[in-house]
Amino acid sequence: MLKIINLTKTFGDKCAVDDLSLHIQSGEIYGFIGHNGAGKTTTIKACCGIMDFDSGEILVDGVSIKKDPLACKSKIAYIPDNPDLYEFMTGIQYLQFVADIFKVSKQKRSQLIEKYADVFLLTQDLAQPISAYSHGMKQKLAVISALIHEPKLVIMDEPFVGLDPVAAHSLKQIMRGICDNGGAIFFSTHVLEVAEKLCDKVAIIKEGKLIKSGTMEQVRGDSSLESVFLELEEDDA
Amino acid sequence: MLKALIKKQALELMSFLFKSAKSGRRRSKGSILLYSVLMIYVAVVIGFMFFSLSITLCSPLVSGGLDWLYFSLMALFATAFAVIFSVFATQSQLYEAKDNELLLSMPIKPSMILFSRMLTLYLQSLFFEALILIPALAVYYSVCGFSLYGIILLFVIPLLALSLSCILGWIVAILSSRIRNKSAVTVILSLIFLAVYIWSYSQINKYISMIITNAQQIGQSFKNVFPLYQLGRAFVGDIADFILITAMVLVLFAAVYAVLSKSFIKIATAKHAAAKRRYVRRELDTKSVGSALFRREWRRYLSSPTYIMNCSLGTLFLAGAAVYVLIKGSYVRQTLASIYNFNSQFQSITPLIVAAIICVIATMNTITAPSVSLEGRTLWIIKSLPVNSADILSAKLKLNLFITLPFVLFASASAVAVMRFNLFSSVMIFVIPLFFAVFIALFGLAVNLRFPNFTWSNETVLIKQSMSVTVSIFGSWGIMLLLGVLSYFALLVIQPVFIMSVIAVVLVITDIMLWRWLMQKGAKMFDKL
Repeated sequence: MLKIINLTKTFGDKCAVDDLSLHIQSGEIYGFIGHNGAGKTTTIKACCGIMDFDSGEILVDGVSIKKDPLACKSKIAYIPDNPDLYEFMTGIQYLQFVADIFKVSKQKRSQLIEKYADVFLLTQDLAQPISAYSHGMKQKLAVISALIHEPKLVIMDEPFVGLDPVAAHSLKQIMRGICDNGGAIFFSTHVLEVAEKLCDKVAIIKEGKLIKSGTMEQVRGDSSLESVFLELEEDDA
Repeated sequence: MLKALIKKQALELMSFLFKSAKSGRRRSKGSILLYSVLMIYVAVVIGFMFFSLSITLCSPLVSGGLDWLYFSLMALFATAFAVIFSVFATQSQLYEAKDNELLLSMPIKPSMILFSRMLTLYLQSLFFEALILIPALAVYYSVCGFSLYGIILLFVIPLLALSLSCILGWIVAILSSRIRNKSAVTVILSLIFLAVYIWSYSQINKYISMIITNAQQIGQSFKNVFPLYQLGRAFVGDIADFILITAMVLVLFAAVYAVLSKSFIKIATAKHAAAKRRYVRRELDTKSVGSALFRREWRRYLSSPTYIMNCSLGTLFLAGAAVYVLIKGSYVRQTLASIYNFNSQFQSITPLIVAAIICVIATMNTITAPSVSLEGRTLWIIKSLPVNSADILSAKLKLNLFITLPFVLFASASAVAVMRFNLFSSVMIFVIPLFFAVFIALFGLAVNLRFPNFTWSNETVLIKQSMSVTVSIFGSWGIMLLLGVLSYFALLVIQPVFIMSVIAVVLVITDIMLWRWLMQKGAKMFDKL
């Protein structure tokens, strides 16, 4: 579903992502782990077509994001780490806008907005302006907007930050549901327990370079993901 | 502790001088000096304005025995001036101060926080009142000699303005937090303020003459208006009225201060939530991608009074000019006829001048100039969605044209209807402003793609002072000036009809080229943002 091939991105002299290759297949929840500034957000933004990159290739369902960004974006949903949404819209207006862009039919959007707004307990607040939303409510709205066009690939940057325990639990279930239906999830997180419980595969990145990847069992072996992560950080230091 | 609080308030008050609102960084010494000179210049200009007013009013009123009326009027102006400028400061420094909760969490008495805030607000009111009262007193003393009452009242009257500002600021804070459509209310109030300002400015001389000519009658009427009569008499030295006015002001201020001091914690931490709107499930409509993008721009525009008032004033003035020309049609025709009698050649260039006037007014609509930068921190949304950049730019252009073109056409139609030009000139009066307005929209967007800014924290600074808006406004004026100069020299050798045709053709070609550039290269530039 998502192939990252020898991705390299530099900012001036700093190499944010260095020759990174990853392959996320349909049905997989793929965790992306690394310390602050490791290059996770840069990689994620490049995969969503938000940020240009210097070399390498990114394929979404076999289509190059460089050559046909619109075709790729129509299959992707992106949830950023900090949900800055249009504060001049109400929640429902924002969802309607996203649904219009993805050309979601009238029946489908009604059904999916109703479903996910109920799941995230946001239905009553949909008529409120987004400027009146708390951080958590904005995060929920960003998640709902990502789900209402039934994407094949969901790319998320720290999706659980700001979500209450109930919403985080619901999101985990939804993530699993998407993968069970043939979709794929690629997300970054600092919460290693979440990654350990939720992910089928995981990749650890440091200073833009991939230092370990594979199935959860391959990466952690007999220890916990946390010990592996700390060990790798120390080894590399 | 109080000293530290006052120092903090003073730093906050003067921060605009030392810190750039745009970057948040400390200004350079040269910049501080420049701003200081500018502020002093503005104060001197306002002071001089009221000095002239004082000179005009003082002698006639004093010679008529109405020196109290002179002070009633000047004190009334000063208080109104101070209240208008202080009411929003009261709101931001007292009721909605960002550091209220932080300071209340520290071991500081709430009364001390309030006192430091009130002191700063008093100094602000004193400054605004002094701009009017110092020239007024200076003129009066030069005519009638010095007296101490006026000087004392100069320091007492700001307490009245401060008390009124506190009361009004409280009402504004409550209303602004409870009103759902703040944007519309702000725009309507701003328009009313603008209309009143323009009207007052145009009528001021008439009213000053009226006051001077009918001073005795106005004085008689004022005598019945409590406490204006007493206020005027207090300034001229009537001890009873001086005590009465001073006592009234002090009592009012003490009452306001007592109420605030008693309820400061409640006020400072109050959250006046707007009535919550519950979502009611309904059938959802669908829109095409183009309509959805246009709607997004439209909603952004309507949500920001700053955007509306600063970037579409042209619409207001075009509508105003069109209505004025229609109402005063016969007067416009008579004026033109008298000019034609004096200079018959003027008749042939009138259509060119009319088209130029409409174009100049249309340059005030700079909606596209900050439109790319306004994406700000939400740029990720549109960039992650499957939308062509050309469609995004088109939606921004459409908004500008939607708000500008109908009014350009209205202004052209009213000019043509009233001034009765020949067919060709009439067509040109439609064509030139129409394509010039399209050019302004295209030009603003192109400039913003060249000078984007997504790191702003203050929308007002972006809309009023950003590089793209500045370049767009001055660039369009420069182009107008260039066209004017070229037309002036061309008129020496060719007919105005020919010049208008050339301008129209140049504008059409420029618009097409700029449009193509935006849809191709401009879209690629947007992709790379």
